Amino acid sequence: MSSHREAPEISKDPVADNTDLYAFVDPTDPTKVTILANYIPLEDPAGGPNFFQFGDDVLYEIKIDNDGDAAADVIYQFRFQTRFTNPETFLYNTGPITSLTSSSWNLRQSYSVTRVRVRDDDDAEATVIGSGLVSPPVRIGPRSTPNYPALANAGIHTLADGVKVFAGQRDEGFFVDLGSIFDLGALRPFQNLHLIPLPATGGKDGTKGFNVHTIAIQLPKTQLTRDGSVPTNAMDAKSVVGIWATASRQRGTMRGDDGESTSAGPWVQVSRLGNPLINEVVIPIGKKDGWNARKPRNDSDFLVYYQNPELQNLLPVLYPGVFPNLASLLTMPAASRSRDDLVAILATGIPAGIIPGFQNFTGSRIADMLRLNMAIAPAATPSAFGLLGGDAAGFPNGRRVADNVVAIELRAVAGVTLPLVRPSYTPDGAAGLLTDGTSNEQPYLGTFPYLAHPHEGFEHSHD
Amino acid sequence: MARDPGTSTPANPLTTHSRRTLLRAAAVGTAAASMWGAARALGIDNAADAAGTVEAPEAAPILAYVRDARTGEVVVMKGATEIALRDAGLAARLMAIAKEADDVVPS
Repeated sequence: MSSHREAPEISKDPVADNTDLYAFVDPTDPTKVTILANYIPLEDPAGGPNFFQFGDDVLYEIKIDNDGDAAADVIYQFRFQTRFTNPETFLYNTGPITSLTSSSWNLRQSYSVTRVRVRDDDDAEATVIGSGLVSPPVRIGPRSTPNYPALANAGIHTLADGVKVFAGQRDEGFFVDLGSIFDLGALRPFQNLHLIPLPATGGKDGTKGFNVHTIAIQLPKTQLTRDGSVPTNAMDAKSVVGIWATASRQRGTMRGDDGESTSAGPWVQVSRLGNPLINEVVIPIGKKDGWNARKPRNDSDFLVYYQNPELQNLLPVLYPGVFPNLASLLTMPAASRSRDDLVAILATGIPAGIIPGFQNFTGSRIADMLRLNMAIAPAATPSAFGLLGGDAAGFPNGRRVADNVVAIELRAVAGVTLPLVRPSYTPDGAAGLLTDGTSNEQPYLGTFPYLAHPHEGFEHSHD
Repeated sequence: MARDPGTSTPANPLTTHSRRTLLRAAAVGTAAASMWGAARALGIDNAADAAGTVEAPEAAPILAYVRDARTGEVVVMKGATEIALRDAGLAARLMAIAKEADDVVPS
């Protein structure tokens, strides 16, 4: 998955597990950028009576680098607090929840938002820009959470300085054929060509019907640029920001005999996410936990996994005869066929001069950040294939909710983007067709927070 | 920027105030010492660059552990901060107590 359960340790700690990160110039207000950081993978909508929620003991953060050194210059921190109004019932709610102030809503979460502006070294200014903000209830069913869209929309909070936030349950907007891809790299539409063939079929969205928890924030671009300016020139380095999201836990936790636990110590990063699928399929299993704890600016020793990705090397093996040009390339010594195209797309940003009128380069430092050139206006007719589809407003220039990042990265890894740095290379015909055949089963919203309302537990089944 | 805030693990000599804190921590945290010694083995050395923004109340729990008995490195944590110091005597005392704990049959 994009970054769901992607490393051994974090797969045991779903509340702190970053699953997806989206960042894009807001199509409804292009003076702003919307960032969505998702956590808690594969939420079963019927998972009561203690439904999914954010962790009170987790520090959730969205970090922005605006000067190209892959260190955070602006940080938005989110801390949650849970309380119940009636400890004498086992119920999440004792009647219909018709508003965010409904007395029948027993287990509630609220949160604070803190903006940290980092100056030099240890000098930073933290400002609480929102507190006591209500996170809407999960979507239970027609009796408990009737008229859910209104209930959820009431959880969209407008803060000062043009900032809008939402934190709560959403439909899992990432789509991928989990069942097939993790069955020895099979893509159902092409599985007749697989080393272990089966008849070709359409894809099955493995995340269909599941929910996720989303932290969404809409920010004026001027709060993200290094000098507070409005980015208008796409070729200006100041127009590009690098974004990543993290989850941290305190170093120490003491479990009491009364079922309570207390924590102390500095916050230790346990999960992070910039670009989709990096820790998932680029970083080898023995380094995944360490990668999650690492700061992006220290990613340089992962460079080799971008230059010579395992997935690239597997494709001609898993699909014999389908990628002859890639197979031929792989007969060369690894050092002479470095995938500098993937390094640019995923680890440094694309420099000027590669794609006319476009760049999202943040410097030569290797770092997993989602890079967004904020001077690129939203597309009138977006392509789900983003930059590969000729749409510079989409992935890997940021990431929109509908961008088909699985297909984009599959195609790139299979060699479609290699001619950008190796003009003599001709991509295999199949490379440009790769897809797992999935799409999201629910339409996305046209407005903030863009991800669809969550699935209802009452309606959910595994039939 | 060069660095994110709020994550330093100072190795400098303690101030008087922080030494008092440590002594208090030792009193509170001895039972935890052997447990927290394992943290080193888990490799959780790296502080995140998360900036803790909530002040710890005076009554907040204090946790202490021996990070490296050989060098006498002891770490004391309170709220969202920690302080590391080298105190071979304290480390030795904690390790001795931890050894006694080895003889306790878990209930």
